[in-house]
Amino acid sequence: MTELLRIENLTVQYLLNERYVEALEDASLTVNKGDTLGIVGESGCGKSTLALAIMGILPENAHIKSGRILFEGQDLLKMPQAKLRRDIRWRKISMIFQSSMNALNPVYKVGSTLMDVAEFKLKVDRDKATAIVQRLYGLVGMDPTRLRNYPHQYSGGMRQRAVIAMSLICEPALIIADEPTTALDVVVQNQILKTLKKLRDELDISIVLISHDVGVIGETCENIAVMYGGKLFETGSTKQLFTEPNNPYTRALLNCFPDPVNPKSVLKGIPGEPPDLSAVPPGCRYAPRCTYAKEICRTKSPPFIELEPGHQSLCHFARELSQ
Amino acid sequence: MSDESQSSTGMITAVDALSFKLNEGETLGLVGQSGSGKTTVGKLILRLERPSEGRILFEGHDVLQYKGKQLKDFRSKVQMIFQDPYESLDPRLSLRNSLEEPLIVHGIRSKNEQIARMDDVLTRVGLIPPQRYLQLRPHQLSGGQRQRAAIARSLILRPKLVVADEPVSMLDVSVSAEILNLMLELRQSMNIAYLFITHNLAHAGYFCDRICVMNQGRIVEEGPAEKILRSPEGAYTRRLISSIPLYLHK
Repeated sequence: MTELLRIENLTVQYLLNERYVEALEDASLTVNKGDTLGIVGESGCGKSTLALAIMGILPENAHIKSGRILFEGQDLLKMPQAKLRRDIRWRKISMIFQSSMNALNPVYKVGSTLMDVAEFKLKVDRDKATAIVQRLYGLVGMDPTRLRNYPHQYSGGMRQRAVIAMSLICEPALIIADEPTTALDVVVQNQILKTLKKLRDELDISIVLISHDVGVIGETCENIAVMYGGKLFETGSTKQLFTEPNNPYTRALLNCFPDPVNPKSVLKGIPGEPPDLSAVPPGCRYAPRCTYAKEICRTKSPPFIELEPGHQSLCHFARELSQ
Repeated sequence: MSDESQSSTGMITAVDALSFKLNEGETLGLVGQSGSGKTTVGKLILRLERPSEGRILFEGHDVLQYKGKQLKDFRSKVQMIFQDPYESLDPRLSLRNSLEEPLIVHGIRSKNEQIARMDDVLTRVGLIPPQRYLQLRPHQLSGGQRQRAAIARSLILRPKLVVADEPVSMLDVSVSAEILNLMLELRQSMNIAYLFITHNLAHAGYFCDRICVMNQGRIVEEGPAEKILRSPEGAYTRRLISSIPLYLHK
């Protein structure tokens, strides 16, 4: 297994109203070639910060306190912006946002926008660019004749697929998709997820899929990282986390999704609120809402314990809970 | 009823010859994807829009004929909860003011009665102690708390029907589940009927007694929630159900 992306002990803070907000603390993750990694969490968990950090597009008030982001062995955090722009962004790593479909220039035909990217990034002539763009449309299940339409003539799902095609122009090794289907209807969502899986299978592209929806991640990804309050709480294969979730937060989170097959089965929320990251309490960030919490959880930060190869859980009682 | 509106290219039929019934204390889901017309139905029922044709019978009377006092009475019996907890509460008003407003409009002016009702609804929605929350403004509350406040406001006139349009779609999943359970609990304790409008089939399955599936302004299938989710009959419904990510529950 070739390692593609390795995030080591990444800590990112935002300066907000003269205070530091710990958006991401000590995050470590690995993505190998061909992997599909799902990052799941609720608002404020740090998943988007993680994505933006990888792409080097964190907002101005962000401060990378520590850590490394190794891509093909090179630390992206030490790379000058010019090199990131030329060699990494859109070439080796592409990103699709939730609102990407609204980022298409409304006064240009979609085809023109895509051609622009192809000609500029790949330095090819019009004919070659046209061929590439048409082929990519086929790949994402779109009719190439639609390239001559304007964005407003596309549905939301079509625009998102156009953006996915655009992200593939330079044949990146890694695509980061941040809530790519959240604004879309369930039927369209299903099509988009199928498209992403097809890309992984046919082009051997690695995918990091970020979502609040555990079902979406489960359908698409082989590995999962659960985040909460700026920290990674559990990582493992999808199978491990769905059949034997260890962390109390993971277990509680899974219970928040109604079962379409047994719709009246118990649905439980999690009382309380995610932590205020500008004033992080000591101990485990989930302790205030955790049904298993003991005294130590409120005073001491939990360790990341490995239960089985690849399956880790951030909890003082990970071993006890796995029994 | 039918509803048509003007668009730049001509008339659009948002709701097309649609009929359904909702019984007292029942939860009915109106499920559809965007553009299906479900939000329009909600607005029509509240008389926020007028249909081109049809009748809306509430407790046996056509509300489209209501005027003046009758209309006002009707409005106190049918309330709405909106999708965006960040937009549905007036940011300049304290919760006290937001809750007082409907009471004043409907002639409940006794201070004691007002306080009693405010305490009651805030307690019911879990914003306890009420005194603490009454003085707060929306920006001082989290998304979940704001939605609870919006629910409290919808209850203060003791409605018989609450139209909830995507009440949890903008909330974190851990909070959504709590709010859905809260709404179910209120249905029990206050005998409220809900029209639950959503694109989320799984939520509708959990929350609703019956579900109407909408597509392009029409109801294409109707039935008990469990049946719609487990054994949908129509082609459109089946496509919808089969698209729900299932891995979690396999």
